[in-house]
Amino acid sequence: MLILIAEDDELILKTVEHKLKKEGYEVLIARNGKEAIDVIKVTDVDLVISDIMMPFASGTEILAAMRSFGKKIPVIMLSGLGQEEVVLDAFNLGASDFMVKPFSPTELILRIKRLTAQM
Amino acid sequence: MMIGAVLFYGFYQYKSLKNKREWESLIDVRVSDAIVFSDEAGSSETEEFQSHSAGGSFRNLLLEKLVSSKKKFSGMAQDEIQRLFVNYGLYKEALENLNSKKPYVIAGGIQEVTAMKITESLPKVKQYLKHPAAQVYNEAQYAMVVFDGFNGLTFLSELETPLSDWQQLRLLGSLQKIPEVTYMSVETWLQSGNLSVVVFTLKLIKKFQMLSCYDQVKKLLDHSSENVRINAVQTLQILENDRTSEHFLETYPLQPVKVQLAVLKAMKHSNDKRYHDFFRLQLIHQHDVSLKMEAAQALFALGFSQSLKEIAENNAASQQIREIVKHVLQEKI
Repeated sequence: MLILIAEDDELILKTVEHKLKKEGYEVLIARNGKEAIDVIKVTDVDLVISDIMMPFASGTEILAAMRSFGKKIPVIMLSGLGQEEVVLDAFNLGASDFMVKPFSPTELILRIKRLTAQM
Repeated sequence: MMIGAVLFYGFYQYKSLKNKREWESLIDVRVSDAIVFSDEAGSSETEEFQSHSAGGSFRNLLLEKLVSSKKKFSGMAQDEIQRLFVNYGLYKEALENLNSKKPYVIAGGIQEVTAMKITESLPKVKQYLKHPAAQVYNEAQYAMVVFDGFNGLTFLSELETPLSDWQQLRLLGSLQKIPEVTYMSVETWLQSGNLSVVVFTLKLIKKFQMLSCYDQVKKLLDHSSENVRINAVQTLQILENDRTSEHFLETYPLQPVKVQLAVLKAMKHSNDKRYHDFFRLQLIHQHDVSLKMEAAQALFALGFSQSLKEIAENNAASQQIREIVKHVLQEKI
């Protein structure tokens, strides 16, 4: 299973990447929204974990781009506190789940497993 | 000579920045490994990391990064970050920062001991509540609440400086619960001469729905500060009882427009259809457009859209009123 992580915070990116690899997932990383959109366009990823606020393109813009490419991929959004409105927009655009920072990487893995079990 | 000095300085700056970036990357890997592999013995520590870990600048950066990391992760990941803090003995650096003479370093030190929950530092932090620098006393106030919850708010009784809106949000956000018997302190703060303390206390009452404070809050509808009265209205709306709307109606004619607006907004949420005539009166006879608009929105929210349509189609009503009503109807449909 191939998972794309889109996150501009290096520590979060590295931690989630290592955690996923430890769990046996294949991982691609993007350090900004535009990079993520480029990857999604040309690669068949199975799941996306995306920060909501990122340089060049936000998490909701990634969702909108996925919709325009006709790709239906489960997306878990990572949001900060007080971003409820953006989270609602993200759900309207097809996000599958979201986690608020500070978040537990272990819980993130559990959510990924739950989501992938439904696929 | 001058050119040489500039070049040297430029090179020094470049070298420091390069070092910092390399160190940040090393630290990120170390923290990430600790979170993912949960290494109590520090097995994932690289030789490079080890070679730097005794240096003062590196240790300060490590401390800074651990504090910021704690804000990114929760659960077991936070425990691992705490374990790194203990294993590297960064307690000493945090306390040194707390004892610095520079306000920004002290503020950083307070953030560090707070994030790492060093309870022994609490007496020292408490002393900084009266520090002249805002960045220091703001951090100290926040730390007191993080360490002691509601009891950490006792500084409010003597607070002379204003609590900024941001600081109020931080303090409220860090309070998860309040003890059952809090009335004495809350009553004192509501009577404070520091208006920001009164406003903060109203927000506190609102957040925790402290129904027993209703009468104290109601008295504030006569407070000399308009901002306090607006916050009192918003708090009463949350503490609402059978007589709240009556209290609002009593005070309404005595208030300036901004408070009247707050009253109309609060009454709009009461869902009480008995006040149709009151809102209609405000829509037709008030001079202020914002009050007319709010009254029209209240009528719509209470389900009187038919009544609004009649006004919109009534040529006897003024052009202004008909436009307001049409605007509200269009906005809501």
